[in-house]
Amino acid sequence: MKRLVFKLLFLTFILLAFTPNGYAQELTGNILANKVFNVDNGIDRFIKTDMVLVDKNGSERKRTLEIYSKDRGELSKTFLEFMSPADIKNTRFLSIEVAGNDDIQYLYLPALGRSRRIVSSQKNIRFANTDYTYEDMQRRRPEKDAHKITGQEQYNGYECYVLESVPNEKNSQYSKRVSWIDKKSFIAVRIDLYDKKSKKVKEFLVKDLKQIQGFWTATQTVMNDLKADHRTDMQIVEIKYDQNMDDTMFSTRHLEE
Amino acid sequence: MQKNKVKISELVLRQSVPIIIAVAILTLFAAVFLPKIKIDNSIDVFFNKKGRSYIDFQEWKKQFGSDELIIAALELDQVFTQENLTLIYDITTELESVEYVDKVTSLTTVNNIVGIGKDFIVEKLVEEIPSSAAALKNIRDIAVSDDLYVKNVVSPDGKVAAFIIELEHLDDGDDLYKKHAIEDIEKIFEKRWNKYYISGLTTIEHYFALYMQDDLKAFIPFMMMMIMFILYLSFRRLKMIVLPMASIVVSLVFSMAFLYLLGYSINNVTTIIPPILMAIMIADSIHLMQESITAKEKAQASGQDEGDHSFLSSTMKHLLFPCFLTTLTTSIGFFSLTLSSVPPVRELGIVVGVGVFFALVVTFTFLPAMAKQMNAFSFKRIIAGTESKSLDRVLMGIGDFNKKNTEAVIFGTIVLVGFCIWGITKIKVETSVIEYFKKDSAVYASTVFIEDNLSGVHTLNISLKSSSTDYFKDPRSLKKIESLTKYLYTIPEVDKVISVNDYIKEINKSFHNEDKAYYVIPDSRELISQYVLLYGEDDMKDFMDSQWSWSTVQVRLKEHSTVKLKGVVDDIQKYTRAGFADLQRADVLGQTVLEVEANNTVTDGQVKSLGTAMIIIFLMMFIVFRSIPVGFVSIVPNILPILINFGIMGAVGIRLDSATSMIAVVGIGIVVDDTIHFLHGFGEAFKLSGDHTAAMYEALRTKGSPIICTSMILFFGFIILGFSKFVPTAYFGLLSAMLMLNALIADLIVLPCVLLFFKPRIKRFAKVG
Repeated sequence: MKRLVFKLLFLTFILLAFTPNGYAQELTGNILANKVFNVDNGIDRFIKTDMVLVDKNGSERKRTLEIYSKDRGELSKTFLEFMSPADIKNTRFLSIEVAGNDDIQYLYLPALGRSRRIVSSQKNIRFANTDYTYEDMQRRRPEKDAHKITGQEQYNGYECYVLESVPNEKNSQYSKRVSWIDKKSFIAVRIDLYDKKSKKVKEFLVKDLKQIQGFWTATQTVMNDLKADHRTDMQIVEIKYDQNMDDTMFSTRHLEE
Repeated sequence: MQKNKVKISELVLRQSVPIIIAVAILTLFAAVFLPKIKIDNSIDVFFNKKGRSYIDFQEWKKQFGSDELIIAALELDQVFTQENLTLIYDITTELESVEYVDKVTSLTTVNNIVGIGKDFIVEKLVEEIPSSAAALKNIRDIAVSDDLYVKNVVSPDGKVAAFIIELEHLDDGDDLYKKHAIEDIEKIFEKRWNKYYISGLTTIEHYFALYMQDDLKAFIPFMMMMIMFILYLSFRRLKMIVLPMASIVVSLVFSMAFLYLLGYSINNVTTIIPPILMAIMIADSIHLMQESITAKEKAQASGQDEGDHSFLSSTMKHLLFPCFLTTLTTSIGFFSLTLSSVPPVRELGIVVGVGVFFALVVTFTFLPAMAKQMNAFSFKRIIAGTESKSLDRVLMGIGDFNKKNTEAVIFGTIVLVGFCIWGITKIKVETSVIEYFKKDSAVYASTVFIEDNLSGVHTLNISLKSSSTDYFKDPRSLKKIESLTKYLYTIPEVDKVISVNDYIKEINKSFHNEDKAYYVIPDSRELISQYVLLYGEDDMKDFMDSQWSWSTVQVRLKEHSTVKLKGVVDDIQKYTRAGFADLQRADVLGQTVLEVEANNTVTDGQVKSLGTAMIIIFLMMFIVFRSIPVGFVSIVPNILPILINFGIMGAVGIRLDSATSMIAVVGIGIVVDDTIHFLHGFGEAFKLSGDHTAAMYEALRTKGSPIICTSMILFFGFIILGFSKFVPTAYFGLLSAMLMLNALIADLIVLPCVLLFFKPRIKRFAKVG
């Protein structure tokens, strides 16, 4: 009997700890990081986006791409296709998350008519000449970092928690990430990225955040590479959630179709 | 005019206290600027910053990053062992953590792309350091056969490993951070492996600055000591050492404050301003003091010494015009340097050209005022030292020699001139910055080692700029770069060529199962676009802009003599312009190009400066001596040492560069002073006796000792520059010293012989005297 009471008390404690707004306990960095990671964005989604690459001289390169992604449990698959300009039209990437491991990535070059699996230990290489590295493209699981809330601030009109995340192992190209988490949507509206010498090298900024089909969506973003003085602007043109996408969409066969 | 001069000289002595106070206040005021003078150690100071090549290169650097690299090499028996790869890995990691280091490229950081079956693998060349001989051999085989690694991070024989270190680009004005970074980098190597070599433009500049500061630290004190020693030998009195030294310090402070106010800085050329100025400035003081002593002795001997300073004011009166004239000629010599297109040479010309006038004013105000206050001439009788007696005997001996050997001297001079003209035809021009260092200096040895084992430290950048976006995604454009590369490899001085093609060919091969037949530029524009979308702009950004309209081809050269490189640069320029005629711009750019261009301007500047200086100075001589024959006579002892200087340079193989090109121009302005003083004495004596031989003896007696004294100071002053750590500065010093000596001989032997041989009628010295 005594044991049961104890068990119930413990259960209550656990439940309270994970209740939103955590009225029994202070919101910790870890809890916040998990909330951010688990923000609801549907089962699948289709995104059509414009991408503009701006170099240090202010010269621009425009591209459009379509991205399909679908979750199965905690893991997701992404299919990405460049639609313009003409010389890279139909170049495709397929990325499949693997539990406890790096994503598996495939590439299809239409001019060559074949696909290749990309195997790389180098996560700090820029993806398709954007300011996102392969590491930036992957979802980072919260347990890979030690998290700490360092304050609360307003950023770009959003009331935010400031979350500092330091990698537990040396497996990241960054030494630290500082994120501004919007209190309402739990979406990071700004992330400062620090290199191994603790120097801020990049910043990710959300210019516009909208609720679409009930899901909070960053519709306009900027990734700034401060060292190279280069940036990637993304503007979502179209987004559709929960379209009941077919799993065959995310196969290597579809890649070469 | 004479009336005015009387007034000035007497006024100076009457108002000695206010003058001293005024000079002291002005000096203190000027001294405030001295600590603010900046030291500019960049090699850029030698280049014409308004030239097209310089401007284009600056723009190129903005796009492709600087070519300022530190290249370090380790000499190992065998690079590809577990132990040595670990060493390279450890050093790389340590280098990466050095403050201000932006990027380190070494065997353990470079990527390797491989295509195996359906996999496209991007990994590090050395992902893990293997222990098995087979795995080590595999890494070695890849490394020495890949164009991107070999001669870059490893030598072809696998015995030398290199680290290419890029620093952050900070605008902190004095580049102190580079110094700290290089010192930290050197510490790492010293600790890890003692057989290391470090070079690259950033390193070369670092040592450039270091040596320059050593020079500065050594020149001024040595110069002071040497001048004091000669003053001691000449006068044997403490006050007579203190007086001119104080005058020099005051004039030097004014001159350096002037340098600061003009916005100049201390650089490799302007470091020699203080020692040069000191050597020149002392001359007027010595003439003034020596002649004052003679005047006082005369007054004492004739019982006319009134115990006041009238002997001093009469000496001032007597010397002001010749001293003004010698200052003017010296100044003209230096001012002609402003015609040079090498900025620091121009700066030196202006500062010294004005500085000598500061010295003149100080010598005729501050020095006599101080002399009066200190009672510097308050001796009963000058104790003529045995030296001065023996010096007199030497001078009279010279007089006898001249009288007996007049024809022989004239004949000898003509033969000498012939030899010099032969030498002049052999003069070579060289402005390579690495040649500024002595062959036994660490930085020179390192540079040569790296050039021998890896590839040249000197690079050319072929900048190809189109007006249309994605021009270089066209296979035809890339194939043109292939042809250019092929052409470049036919030039013996070319060591290595790197372009965007190396990356594209590598990817193409990897996508075709490492089939070597695919190590080519593909024919499809789409494929090229898709390749570079996948991989490479990280590595390619050093060779291509983001719009694919501006590409650059890096050429590393194993030759650093600009004389030899001139032809190479011209040929490449010609080929590039013709091959890429459709482009907006096709230029060969880089430090090396600027050095080659500086070569041309050195010679041009030399001809212009020297020509101008000679014309003005010789014209002045005709006017001053109011006689065409005397004018011609005065030219002889001045042209002669300059001809000898060039003759020796050509015969011995000393190159003409931004420093050695100043010798003749600077020299002519200085050596002509002795001629003026001698002819001044000769003219006065001739007026009394009307006899050339007697006038010669008298001129030797009155002017010989100050001429010798000032020449010796100039001689030793320039000798001090001979101890410079820079080859051009050292040659400048040694050759200028020799010029002073030759000028002395020419003035005391050749000039009198010419006078005795041609016997021109000497008129009174100008309008005054």
